[in-house]
Amino acid sequence: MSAIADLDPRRDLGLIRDRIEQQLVRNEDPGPTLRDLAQRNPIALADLVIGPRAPRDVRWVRCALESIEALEEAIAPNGLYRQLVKLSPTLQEEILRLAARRHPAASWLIELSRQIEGQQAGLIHLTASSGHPSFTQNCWAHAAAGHLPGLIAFTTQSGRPEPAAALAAHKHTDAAAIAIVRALEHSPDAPVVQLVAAAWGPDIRSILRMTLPHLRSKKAALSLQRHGQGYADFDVLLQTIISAMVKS
Amino acid sequence: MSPNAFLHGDPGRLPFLGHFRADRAWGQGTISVAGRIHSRGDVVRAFRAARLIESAVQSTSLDAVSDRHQALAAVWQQLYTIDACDFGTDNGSDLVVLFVSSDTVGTGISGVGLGGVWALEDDVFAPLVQGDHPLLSGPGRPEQLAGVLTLDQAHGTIVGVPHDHTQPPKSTEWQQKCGVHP
Repeated sequence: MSAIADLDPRRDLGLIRDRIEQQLVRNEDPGPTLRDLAQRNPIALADLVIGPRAPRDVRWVRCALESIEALEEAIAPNGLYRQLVKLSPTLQEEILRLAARRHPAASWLIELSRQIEGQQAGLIHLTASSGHPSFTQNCWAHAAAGHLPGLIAFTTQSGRPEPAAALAAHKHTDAAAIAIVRALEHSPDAPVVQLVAAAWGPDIRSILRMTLPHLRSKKAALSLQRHGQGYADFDVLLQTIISAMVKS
Repeated sequence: MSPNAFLHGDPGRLPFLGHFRADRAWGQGTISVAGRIHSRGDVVRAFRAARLIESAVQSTSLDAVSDRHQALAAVWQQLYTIDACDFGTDNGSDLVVLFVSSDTVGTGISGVGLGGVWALEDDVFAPLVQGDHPLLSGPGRPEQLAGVLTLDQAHGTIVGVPHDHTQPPKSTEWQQKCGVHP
């Protein structure tokens, strides 16, 4: 039940804050109060979630994330999510996941990803946007930002070919080579070699050669050989390596 | 100086979809080929078709060739033996290719689907073929090539642009635009 049903959000903001803080102290669920406020006055809600005198309690922020639509009505997403992350560092990955799900094509997610994920920047964003039309654009943006480990981590868990192509397009050739191998380890039929050639140029032998130290399984090596048909000298080299590999 | 042919990529994130390049040398000269096939199709078929063309160029017998015209004819004939269905869903009607064939006497260029051809001279691109020159035909695989333009001087780098993206090459970015990574 809302604890502020008798209050006017435009006039009684201080009282509303006090009651929310009391609810939190008493370990009561602030959800009904928050939803009441979201319905009646999203701007007041935004003030009480990310404003200078908002209750600093992770339960309140987590609860507020459930009314994110109302918050976005009051505050532009770019500023809203940055402020949420700033105020609730313990929820930052959850906040980034939510932002990426709701705004998969937003360019500000690139910087926010770096801020939150560090070395793994891009993993959450790409995972959340992998079914969205902006996915390829996002791969290119993360590659341009130099988020190499994140792109490789995403490839390892998804087998998608786009990150390797994005890395090649931005001349991160060694990372592209690793991503090629990881994509084929996950999905032996992934058209990753083909996509890298489409992004890099017709002669990808220099990148293909860089894949060799990263091959960890015969299965991936055979897949690479199948996809790399047409580069005769690389094929000879790879065949030599394959013949020396144990089955895995 | 052996002339090398290059083709500009298309705009977008995958500018080299279906692009191919191959160079051959024979006793008295060289032939260089750059082009694209199935560039609006799926990436797997485009890649396969492009590698097939490179392989065809590499496997062309040039043993009996005695001049640049014969070398060009031999390579074109070899490309013509490829089944149309191997070129993708357009059966080769979207083929764009630039040939640069040279011998001790001179250099000739030919091709299909080109919107212009430039040569790099002292770090500046000079037009070799542009406008309504008969060499600039539509894409595809005619039984005979449109003809050969003989160049009056030697060039090391010759860049073609496809008929549907005719922006001239620039000396500062031609390698990137052609997918060349020295």
